[in-house]
Amino acid sequence: MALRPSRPVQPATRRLRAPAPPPPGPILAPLRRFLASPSTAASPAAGASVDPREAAKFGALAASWWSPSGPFAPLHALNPARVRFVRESLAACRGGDAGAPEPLKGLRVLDVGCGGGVLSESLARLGASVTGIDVAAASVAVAAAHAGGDPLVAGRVSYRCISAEDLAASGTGGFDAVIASEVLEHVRRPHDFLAVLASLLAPPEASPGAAVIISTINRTPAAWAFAIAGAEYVARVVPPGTHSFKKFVTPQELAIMADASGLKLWHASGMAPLGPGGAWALTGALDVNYIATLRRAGEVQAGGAEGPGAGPGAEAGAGAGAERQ
Amino acid sequence: MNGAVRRLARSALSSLAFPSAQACPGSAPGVITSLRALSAARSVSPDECYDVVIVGGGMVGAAVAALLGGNRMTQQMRVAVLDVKPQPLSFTPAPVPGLRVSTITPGSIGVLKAAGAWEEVEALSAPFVDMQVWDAAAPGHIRWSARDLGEERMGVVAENPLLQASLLRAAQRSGGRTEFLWPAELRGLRLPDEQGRPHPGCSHGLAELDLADGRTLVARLVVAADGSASRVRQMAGLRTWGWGYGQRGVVATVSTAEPHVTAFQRFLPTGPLALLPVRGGLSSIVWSTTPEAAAALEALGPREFAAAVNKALLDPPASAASGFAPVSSLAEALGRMVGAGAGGGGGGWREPPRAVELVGSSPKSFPLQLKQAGRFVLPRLALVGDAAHAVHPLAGQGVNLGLGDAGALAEALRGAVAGGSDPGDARLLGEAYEAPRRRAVLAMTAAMDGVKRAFAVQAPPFAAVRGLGLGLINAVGPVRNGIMNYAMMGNT
Ligand SMILES: Cc1cc2nc3c(=O)[nH]c(=O)nc-3n(C[C@H](O)[C@H](O)[C@H](O)COP(=O)(O)OP(=O)(O)OC[C@H]3O[C@@H](n4cnc5c(N)ncnc54)[C@H](O)[C@@H]3O)c2cc1C
Repeated sequence: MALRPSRPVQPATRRLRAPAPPPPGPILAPLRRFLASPSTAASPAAGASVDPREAAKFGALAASWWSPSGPFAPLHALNPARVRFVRESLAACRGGDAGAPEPLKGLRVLDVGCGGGVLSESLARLGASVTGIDVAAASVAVAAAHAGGDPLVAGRVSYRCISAEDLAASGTGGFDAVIASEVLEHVRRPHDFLAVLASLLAPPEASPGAAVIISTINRTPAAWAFAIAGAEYVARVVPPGTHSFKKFVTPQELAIMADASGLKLWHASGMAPLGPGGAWALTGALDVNYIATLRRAGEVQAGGAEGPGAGPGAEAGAGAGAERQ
Repeated sequence: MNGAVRRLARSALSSLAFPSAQACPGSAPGVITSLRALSAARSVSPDECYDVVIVGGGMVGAAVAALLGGNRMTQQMRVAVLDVKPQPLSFTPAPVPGLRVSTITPGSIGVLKAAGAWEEVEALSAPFVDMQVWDAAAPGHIRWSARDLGEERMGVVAENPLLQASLLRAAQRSGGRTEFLWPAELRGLRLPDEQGRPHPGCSHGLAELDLADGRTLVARLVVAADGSASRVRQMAGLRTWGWGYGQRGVVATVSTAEPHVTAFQRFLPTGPLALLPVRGGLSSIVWSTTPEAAAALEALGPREFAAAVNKALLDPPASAASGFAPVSSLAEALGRMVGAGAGGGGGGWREPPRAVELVGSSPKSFPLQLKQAGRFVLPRLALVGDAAHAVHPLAGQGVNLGLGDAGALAEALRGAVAGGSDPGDARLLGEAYEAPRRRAVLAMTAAMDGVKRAFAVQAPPFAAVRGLGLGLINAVGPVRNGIMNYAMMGNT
């Protein structure tokens, strides 16, 4: 079946290994999760159709998003840890049972920057009804194709190629949880981005306990050594240039941004490959990778904004092991 | 952007080998939802999928099912156990215990407890509180006692059908979603490829099992628990390595002059002989020997067999003659290093009770082998029990290793549910199941094979080393207990 593009498309540029999306909205929330580097961001070529050879490359890419030994292996290694955080944190926010097999049952969750769908599928397995969005069309296609592999997942996730800003502008919203994992460090104006995420939450009366969950990288010497020097230049697990140290966000900065969006940093946890066999675990040290839950300011009492006991580490705005510069 | 997305989706789909892939309609920019449309032909509904299909309802397959049903996190998994033959859900003890028995270690007792099968097993099995190992070719012995470990027992000896029925019943009782499908013969198996890409014959990325009655099951994970000649392992194209020993194990039940609570094991030049307490004050014999000797033993009458057992267990050790001196000085040096003499100690020698006569079924024998699959997991497949590894049943570790597998696999799946992972994910199975089990199995295999080969060599110098080795180890409490801990826990 030959489909003609009905509107301008974003082609994959041939010289790139990974497809690059256009800047979709006021904020560039591009190349998700090691998919491509900022230097490879290309402007859209309107009306261009997709080269079959490019399509073949996306086929290869599809395999690599989910290949156990491919370039996304570190992401798969990290995934269970962040999912455990989401499980515990959302249960605590909503007074649910974190030990239930499907603790997110009945919740509408938005995965911003879903990439190949690694996190979205896990959230679906926890019972959530998940919308995954990404501005990289190829990634969204891969995510959709992969979800089709399991009817249970397919019935619980849907993917859209759209930015968070456009989604919010289209009037879509009403999510019980909005998750942006490994996105914040790639966006141009994180303040605005956070406000957009907050606007996508369902109103308090419809969804008490709704939360935004952010995972990102701290701006510390350790983070520089680990994420930039280590991961990019030494190990080459992600393409050099994927991360820009200046864009890394400290927990304090995240707390301040949250305040400006009517949210409160409720609790946070570090994530590090410290488990058996290099498995990622939740830790009390926020100095490199960390994950944080932001709740509506009105729903957490000032001074009493205690996170659940499960989240080791930071109190709002004063992350243990925070910036050391 | 729609068209581009559709094309990308299609190319991605075809590379993933989904037939009849269709992009969805949608007017919003970039919408490619409606995933159910992706596999319109031969699609499966979520209700048709099993989370776990266990092929083989033997002890190990039953243990996996019972453990999944007994844990809150995995209880909701839809599990099927299939077997070529209907398997017993109850155990009625015969007057004389059956020939196939297992020594159940404390590690395995932990697994049985978690599975909800322990109480039933405990009620109908025989405990042993000591273990004594010695050599027929040289003096020296090792004796372990539960007291040294602060335990009330070192383990129990249980009939295999009791273990199996208790575990199957626990699986049925657990409140989990377990179905027994038998008789059901597996005829075909379709798994994703090594990269996790769907099988070309599937409209999804799961596993498919064809049964002889025409049914097809769809599963996120296939567990091969179908024994040492595993069909599933063959269908998945996994190779095994190993060798036969050119030996057979003879099993029999005997009465003894008095009851006892010690697991006795003597290393004879032809292989080890074990005398284990079983239910009803009787004893089980597991005797590894040459095929000729096995045939001769099987032909003996009730009292003749008992006499052969007594001779093998009670004859004084052959003297170690030539080549002794260098070995002896080495042993003395070792003894000084560990601050102990080279002699015995560590729990006095206890004479095994005399066998009186055979009871119950006449003796049977089976070939001994060492066999291991090169890999225990593939995408959507995990091998457990004898399907993964068949080892010389010298120390009764066959079942214990299998129960250790079941425990590790159930724990890996609990982690998968907690972390929102696909239970058939090869990476997860590799890290959380295969890696620890391969270490345990290799260590056990090497130890058992090493012991077996060392004892199989009959030249006097080696015999002397063996005798001294046993004496030395017995004298040194911590070392002895360390070795025993390993042997008894099975799954460290
Ligand atoms: C004679 C003998 C004595 C032993 N003594 C001891 C001992 O004293 N101590 C000890 O620890 N170990 C002992 N072992 C080893 C022990 O029996 C095994 O380790 C144990 O039985 C393995 O359990 P399993 O569940 O993996 O396999 P099995 O017990 O072999 O169970 C496999 C099951 O799969 C079913 N099956 C097979 N093929 C298919 C198919 N294609 N489709 C569906 N179902 C199928 C079979 O019907 C069977 O029920 C002994 C073994 C033997 C042979």
